[in-house]
Amino acid sequence: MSKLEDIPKESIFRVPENYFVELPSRIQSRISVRKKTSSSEKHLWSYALRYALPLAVIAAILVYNYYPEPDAESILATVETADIVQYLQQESALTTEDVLDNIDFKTEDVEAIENEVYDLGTDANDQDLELEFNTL
Amino acid sequence: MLVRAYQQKVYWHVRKMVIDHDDADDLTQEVFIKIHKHIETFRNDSQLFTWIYRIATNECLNFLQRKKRRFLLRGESDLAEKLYTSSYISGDEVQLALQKALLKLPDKQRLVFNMRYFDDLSYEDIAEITDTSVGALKASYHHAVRKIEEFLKDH
Repeated sequence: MSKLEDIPKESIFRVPENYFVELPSRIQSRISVRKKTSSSEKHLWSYALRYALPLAVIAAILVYNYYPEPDAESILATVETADIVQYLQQESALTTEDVLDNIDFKTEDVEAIENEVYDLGTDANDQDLELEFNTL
Repeated sequence: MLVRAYQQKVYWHVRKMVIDHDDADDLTQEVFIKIHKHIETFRNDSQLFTWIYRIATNECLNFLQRKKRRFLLRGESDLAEKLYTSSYISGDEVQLALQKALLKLPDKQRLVFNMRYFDDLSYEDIAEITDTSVGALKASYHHAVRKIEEFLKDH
């Protein structure tokens, strides 16, 4: 028998007795369990949002204020002078031009450097400067 | 209500694909849980039964894919074995030979064949369920019939 049309259209598959009578209630009970689980998950999230989230935000603010971020000067103060000297010696390729290119000098900084180089006080005026040149 | 109306259609559709009753039982329950979960997304422009068939079809194909991966491509022989070992199967040699011939087909072609031959669905409905053109489905069905008849001739 090689023709499909010669074979009677019968199913070979069977089901247990009362299977289709019981199936709807089994499906319904699984849907109810899922509803309960999803409902308790929603409650958990609702509690988390209502209580845990504000607490976490307050804790973060407190921690941030208690441990303020250190500024550049205080970080630099922790570095030993010997380490800085060693670093500068190793970084021999660093030229004055590199420094000038990378540092954005403010007018006050320039004046401060000039005063330090020429050993002037902060209130040094043009006359002092002239006197300094004459004594050189 | 929905379960009572469609449980048999879904179960038999799934059962013909996965052969084993326990697997079909699990998948049928999963199908109805998914239907319940996504019923709000059902659009009225498609028929409810084609939408349900589509979910059941996807569940079957995913299940068979997982099974093939797990048994390292033993899918077809594993299902053929179940024809002889599973409970709730009874048929004469000719019917069993037809089922063995069906298991030689690729899963999607077997689905198309089952829906057309056993469930008497129209090509238009099958096209909606499988998201395939009617022309491609007709070609697939005729190929399936030819392969089945060749198998039956040799066995």
